Amino acid sequence: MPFHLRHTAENSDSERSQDLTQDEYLRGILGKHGNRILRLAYSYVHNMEDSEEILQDVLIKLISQAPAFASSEHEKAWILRVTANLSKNRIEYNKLRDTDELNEELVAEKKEDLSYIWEAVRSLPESYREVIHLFYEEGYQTEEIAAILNESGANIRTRLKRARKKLKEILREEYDFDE
Amino acid sequence: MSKYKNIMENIELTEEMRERVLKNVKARTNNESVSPTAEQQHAQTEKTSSRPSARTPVSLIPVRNAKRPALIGSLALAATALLIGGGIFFAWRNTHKTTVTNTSSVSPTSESIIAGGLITPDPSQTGVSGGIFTFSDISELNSSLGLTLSDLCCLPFTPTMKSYVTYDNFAEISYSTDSEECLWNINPIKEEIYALAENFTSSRTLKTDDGVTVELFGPDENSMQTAIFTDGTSYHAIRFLNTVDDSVFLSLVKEILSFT
Repeated sequence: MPFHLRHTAENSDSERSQDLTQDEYLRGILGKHGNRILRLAYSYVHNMEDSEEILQDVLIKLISQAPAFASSEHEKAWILRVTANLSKNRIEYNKLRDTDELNEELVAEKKEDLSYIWEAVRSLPESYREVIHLFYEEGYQTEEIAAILNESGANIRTRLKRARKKLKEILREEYDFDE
Repeated sequence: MSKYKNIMENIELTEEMRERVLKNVKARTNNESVSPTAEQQHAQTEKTSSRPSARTPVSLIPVRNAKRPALIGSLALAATALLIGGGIFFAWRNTHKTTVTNTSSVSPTSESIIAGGLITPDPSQTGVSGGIFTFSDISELNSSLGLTLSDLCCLPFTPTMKSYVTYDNFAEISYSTDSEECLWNINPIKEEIYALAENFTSSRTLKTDDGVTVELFGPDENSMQTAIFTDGTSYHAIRFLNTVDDSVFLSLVKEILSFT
């Protein structure tokens, strides 16, 4: 039983136990998908504060819509889709902070090669970045990405191909992105 | 492993962030009263849309970022408007000889369960303000609120899911498919209806044949997604997830005005 509604004041014992149940449910989701949501959000918005707020919004959607999942893959795909949409909304309304903690961390850790690649990925259009993320980070095939992003498989394949070509141009074959 | 994966490994949900997120989510769900029961969770079928709702989140979010004083100000104004609005809406309901119907006294139909619209009100919030009430169809919503609305039939898609909800000052009717959604909000308070369109950067005005002014809102001049107008008593917002033609908005406005 994932969670319950809030409760009356006179039912404080029940309240505590039911709140705990909801808390446990959300902790389970964060354990399974927390990094996944944060990383996909970051791939769109490029800063941690916005990514964290998107993570919160995804959990709110999960609670308010209470979708019934047929499988863990279905749950994962739903969560990625919602994360992508919330991230795009945030970009659309131009609410983003102008920081990039990931790049700062890569530089601080002297991972210049990764920083260089991240900068290259960042410079891609959003429609390329989302395909790159779902393909390389989540390991989805193009048809699966198409289902998540509600687009055609052919469109996704084209974008992936162009994104890789563009990355190769930017990186001047100095680094092999696929390694 | 790709270089990209190596990069992404640097982004991790920390324990501190996890606790902060859970705390904020709990605060938000408590404020919004949107938490469904476990029974709902089980009652919903696979027909539940996997697409996120286009609804604007209720602005009761504790803002963590001190960089947004304007947003904080907006929230304070919204809270004030809600307090005032509660009173006005109470009067509005009385005018319509209404009785707020608790979901527990409404037998949900299978349709309402499939639609995912069954939101049981918090037992501590069965008053006028703060409760969420779901109805199985529009006639039930009408009889509860004393309205004379009908389901919209000029939609540019055939809805597979419908829901009828009232919360705070709003009545919200939702028509959706897996990829389309139209939300129809009715509210006696102008500011609360216009708040639904505040995120859009473009707007323009249309007139119906009868001279009713319809304001359209969207992300740009050629992509209108929301229409707002008044029937003289209440304000209405028609919100689409996707861009629709002006003619669709005009047809819907005309249809809605015929109900009132």
